[in-house]
Amino acid sequence: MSTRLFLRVTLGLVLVAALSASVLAQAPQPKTEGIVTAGAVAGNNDGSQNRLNEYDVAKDGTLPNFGARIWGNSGSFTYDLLANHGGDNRDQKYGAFLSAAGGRFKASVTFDRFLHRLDHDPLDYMGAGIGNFVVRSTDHDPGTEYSTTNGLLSTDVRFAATKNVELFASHEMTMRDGVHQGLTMSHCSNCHVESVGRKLDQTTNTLAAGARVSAGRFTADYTFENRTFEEQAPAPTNVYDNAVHPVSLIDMFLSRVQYDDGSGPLPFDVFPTFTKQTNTVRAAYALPGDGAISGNFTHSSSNNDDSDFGATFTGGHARVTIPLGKRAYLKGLFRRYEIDTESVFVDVVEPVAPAGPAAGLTYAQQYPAMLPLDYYTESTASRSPTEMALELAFRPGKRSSINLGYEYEEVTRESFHVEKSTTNIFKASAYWRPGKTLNVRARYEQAMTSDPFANIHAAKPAILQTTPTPGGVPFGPLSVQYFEMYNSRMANLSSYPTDSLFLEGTASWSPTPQVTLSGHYRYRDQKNDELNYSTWGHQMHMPGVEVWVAPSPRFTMAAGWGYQKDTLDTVFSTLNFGG
Amino acid sequence: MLDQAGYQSETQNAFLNLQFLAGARTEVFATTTYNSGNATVKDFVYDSSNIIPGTALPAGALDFTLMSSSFAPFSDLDYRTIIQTIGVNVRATNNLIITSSLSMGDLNDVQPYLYDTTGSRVGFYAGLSWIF
Repeated sequence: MSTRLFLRVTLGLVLVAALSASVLAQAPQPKTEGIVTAGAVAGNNDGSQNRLNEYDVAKDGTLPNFGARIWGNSGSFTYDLLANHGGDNRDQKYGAFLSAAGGRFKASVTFDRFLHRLDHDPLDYMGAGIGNFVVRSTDHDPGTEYSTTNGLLSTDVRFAATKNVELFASHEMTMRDGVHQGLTMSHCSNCHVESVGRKLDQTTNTLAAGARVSAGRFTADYTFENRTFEEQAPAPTNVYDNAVHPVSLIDMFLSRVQYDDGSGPLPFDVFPTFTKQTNTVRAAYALPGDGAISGNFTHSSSNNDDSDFGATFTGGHARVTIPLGKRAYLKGLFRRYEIDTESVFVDVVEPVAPAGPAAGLTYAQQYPAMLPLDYYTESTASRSPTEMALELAFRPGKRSSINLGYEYEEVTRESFHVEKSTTNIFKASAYWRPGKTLNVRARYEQAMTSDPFANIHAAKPAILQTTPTPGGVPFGPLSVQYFEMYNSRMANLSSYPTDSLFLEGTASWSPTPQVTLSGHYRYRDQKNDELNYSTWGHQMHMPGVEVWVAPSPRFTMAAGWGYQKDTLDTVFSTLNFGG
Repeated sequence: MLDQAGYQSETQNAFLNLQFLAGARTEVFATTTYNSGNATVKDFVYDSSNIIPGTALPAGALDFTLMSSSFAPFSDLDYRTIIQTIGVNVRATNNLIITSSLSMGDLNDVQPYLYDTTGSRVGFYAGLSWIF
């Protein structure tokens, strides 16, 4: 893996160097400046480094450290090269930034590689049991410290072919390799959680290319982008526990599950191959004065190549700025887009129970009221938002400004109970500098939403309100089944507000050139009181202060403090069902 | 069973940076950062009205008092981190800079969630930079 990365980086740098060499040949007497650094870090660690040094190698011991940065400017050609190596191949950074032909040609290549320490849940808090039924765990890789190495290679090239046409292309490659904790769980006979070390070797490639044209007041550009994600390490497999009755151990639960040990090894913790293509067109026209009109249109399609389903995004926006004299302007925005995801057909496996009251029957044959079993599932991502905004800005004086705004947002959905949510947002902000030493800002925003997105009939089954398991054990012909219990849910749940208020105030005071004091306070209050069995609310307080003092030219001090408190008020729902 | 509950989180960040030019070619610096974060489930109480009518028993014979007092702290979080760095840069010549710094970091996982992430590190750096 490391050799592959180095080759890619080296090839990228060589490519850029080759491109620049021909231009460099025309440059007279190049001048070079730079700095080269060599050192060493000696460290001593105690305890876990997973939070303290989550993204640092921070080796317990000694590591050499090398760095260099070289830059130059010769005529129309400039370059800026940097390299850092932290003594560990998981700590590297390189970059090359080039400009030639008076800025008509620009290229850059950067590579950054860093460590990410990951959690390893020991699962040692399980083991609760009632009779033979237990919540238990098996860690097949105990004690291992998990981490990934993350590399980001970025290449960007721009070339002004003529005075009016610029061509551009870029490539980004994100590489993530290492091991993380893969978890899976057997249901029914036991809640059995199993953990393995899951190898990762993931690559995301993003290639983009396009052109920009400009003619007088008009500019337009088109960009095509292709993105792929691929996991090259195989997914782990698991043989799930036999779906027997947890107490009697009779083989009677198979008809209630989709798979058990009879299904053999099944993959889990799967990362599907993913592709996405995006086309974007943008245009802008500068109106006389300081006015402007601009817009864009984007269409993208993404696909899960393993399961062959995907989504499309189609949308655009238009924006106009109209000056109203020298002290005011009006901005307008209209945006509409549609996210359409493919329906996915769920073909339910219908095993036959080997023993018990339903021996020889599938679950649906035992309880025909559940039919039909197979269904199409839809994604909550499918929606069509429309947004409109107006903003009026004016300056009452040289040292003050006021902005007033109104936004309307409508989100429609075809596949969910909440078919339309509408939001009205009112905004105001002001800036005032009463003197040379003080400036003050204030911001206000209030949003009111009708029918925010919610999970309708998500909790509180009516059938459980009087007794936890009506009819006793769930195996009798008249016993309440899971599907009946779920179908009787009454309570709607949501974490989206019907009312939202945001306030912000900031002030900065510089009594002398050597002293600056500043402070801010942000407050947010959100609530949803349209739910039928509960309320939802969120409050945030966020004060902060900063001070900068330079009592002498030889001494400076900067200090700051920030605080954030979030309080969430919501509902908890616990099922008590012996199903 | 369904009832209201709360979740509260608090974070605090503070920093102090000092820079002192001890001589024409010597800079001394110190940086202190402190971060604390905690979170907890609040007002998590099983509703006593969820009693099976006619039995005076909680639904499913569950121990509402024990569940109310023991479930909420399962997800408590409380991290406190302090990092202190002091260092000196000396411009030995017009082209040569000598750098040295000492860093100390300590993270205290007061309420471990899943596993204890308490840890500390002391690191010393020394290096030379050549400017051309």
